[in-house]
Amino acid sequence: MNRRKTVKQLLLYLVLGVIGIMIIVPFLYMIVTSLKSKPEIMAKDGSFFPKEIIWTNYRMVFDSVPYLSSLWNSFFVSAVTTLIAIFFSTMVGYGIAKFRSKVLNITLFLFMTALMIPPFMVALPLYLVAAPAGLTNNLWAIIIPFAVSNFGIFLMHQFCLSIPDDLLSAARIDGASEFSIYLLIVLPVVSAGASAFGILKFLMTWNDFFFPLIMLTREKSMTLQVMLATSIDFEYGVDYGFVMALSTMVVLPVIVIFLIFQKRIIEGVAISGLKG
Amino acid sequence: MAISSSEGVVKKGRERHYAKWGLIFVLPGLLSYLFFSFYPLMSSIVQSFHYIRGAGNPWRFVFLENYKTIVTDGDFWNSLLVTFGYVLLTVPAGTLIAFTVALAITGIRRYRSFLRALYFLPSVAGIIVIGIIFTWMYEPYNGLLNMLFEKIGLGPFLWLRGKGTALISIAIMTIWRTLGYNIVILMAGILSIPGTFYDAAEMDGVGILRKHLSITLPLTLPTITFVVIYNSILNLQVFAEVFVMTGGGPGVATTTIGFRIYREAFLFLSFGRAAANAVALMLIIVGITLIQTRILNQREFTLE
Repeated sequence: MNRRKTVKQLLLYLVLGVIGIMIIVPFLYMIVTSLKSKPEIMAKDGSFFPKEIIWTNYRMVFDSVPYLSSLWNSFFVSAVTTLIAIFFSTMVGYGIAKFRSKVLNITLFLFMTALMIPPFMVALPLYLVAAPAGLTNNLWAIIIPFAVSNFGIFLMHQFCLSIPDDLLSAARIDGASEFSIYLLIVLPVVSAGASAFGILKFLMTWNDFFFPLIMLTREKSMTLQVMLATSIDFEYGVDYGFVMALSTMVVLPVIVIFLIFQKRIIEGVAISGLKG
Repeated sequence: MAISSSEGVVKKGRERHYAKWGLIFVLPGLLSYLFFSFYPLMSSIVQSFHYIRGAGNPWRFVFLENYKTIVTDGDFWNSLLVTFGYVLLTVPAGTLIAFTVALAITGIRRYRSFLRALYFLPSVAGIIVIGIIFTWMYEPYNGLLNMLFEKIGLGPFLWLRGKGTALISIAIMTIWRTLGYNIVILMAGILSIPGTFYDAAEMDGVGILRKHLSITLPLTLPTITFVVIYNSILNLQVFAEVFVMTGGGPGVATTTIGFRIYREAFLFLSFGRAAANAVALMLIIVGITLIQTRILNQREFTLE
């Protein structure tokens, strides 16, 4: 019986290890390609790892595309969206969770149905309003519409339900105003949940594509995703060395963020699944 | 008597106070909903009854003209077929694989969180980067996959360049990309099952397969339902993958509804027709979500 269990364990590790390799190989392939010379990439039976490491592809990332300005745009849009989202989603979630009334329950239902509206349906009408108003290429125009996240409201509402009522009424008896209760008690108490949501929102915004694609048409105002996607033309022989170097530089910031906050990110996703 | 009535006044005052502040706190959400959910939804429907040539131009009311055009347009039905095909290729297989792997991870003793984190990596990397890496791996002449398959005497395959294989190639990538996310959700469901259920099964000497079929599967069905619906909703809207990998081709083999909406609006500058497509897509999403919730909930009921 014990031996059978060991065999079973080994088998599971083997299968999971193979899947792990299948997950990591594409990323590895991206990195090794970015370090290869053009002739080596073009060769039909080249080796997986580069014969000679070449850095010219990375020089091109800084010379031939506006990498740094796109990096800044992505960072600015993601960070600002996340901060606004945390502040307001928590506020709305708290309002629904702790000031119980029939009207507020209806609003929760509204926010949840909004999750089903396809982003296309939101993006096109907003574009038709924003474009004539000269708001294309304005980063705030892609920040504001998604800053009060419906998903965030739902998630933070769940976290706020667990705030003890005594804590709030004690503060009220001490004469604290409702707004300072939110700022000084509610936000700190749900900070673990809020930061989990915040990291998810940051990653979602960082990787967002459709709305930034249609709104940001000038190279200088593009986010990394839009710049990367529009700088490639598959029709005329792609320079994969350069493209992989650029992809590596685009994905590097999120990989770093992921490695730092890995535990919190995965917990956040697990919670959102359980509560959904 | 006097006391209780003054208490009533206090209570009423407090209720009014709560109602007021509740509304103040919820207000940003309501405004955002009004401007960025409700208005776009209504505007899309109104748009779909108009002829709109690009942003800033006057709208001309054409009523059902746009819908008539898309219904008689073979391209629309083709894009429906492609989109449903994509969902059928990704969701059942993706969910089954993720469930199996999630079970495997909960079955091991060490490296659980390491593996879960490793598998999650594609979920944070972003569709554009992953789409580009896979386009490179799928390259028929010098891409990694054909090189590997040739070593074992298979292929060469056309992957994204073949009419019959392009959609499957994108679907394989999507299953790979969403695996980690689905595993995390499913594991949360599996791990929330109380251990006592399994103890009882163990005492009866039930085999592994039976154990998972009659305990794990029915008890994680709500989580599986969530995964199926969530992935269906997302994959019905597939756009970025198509945009970056195939541009809808070869021919119209990967022209999904999502890509069609983009093309109608930004390449053909026909916003009215794009809106009609978007409304159709939303009706499909709502319909499929309702059907799936119904079926999967029913199954849960009969199993219990």
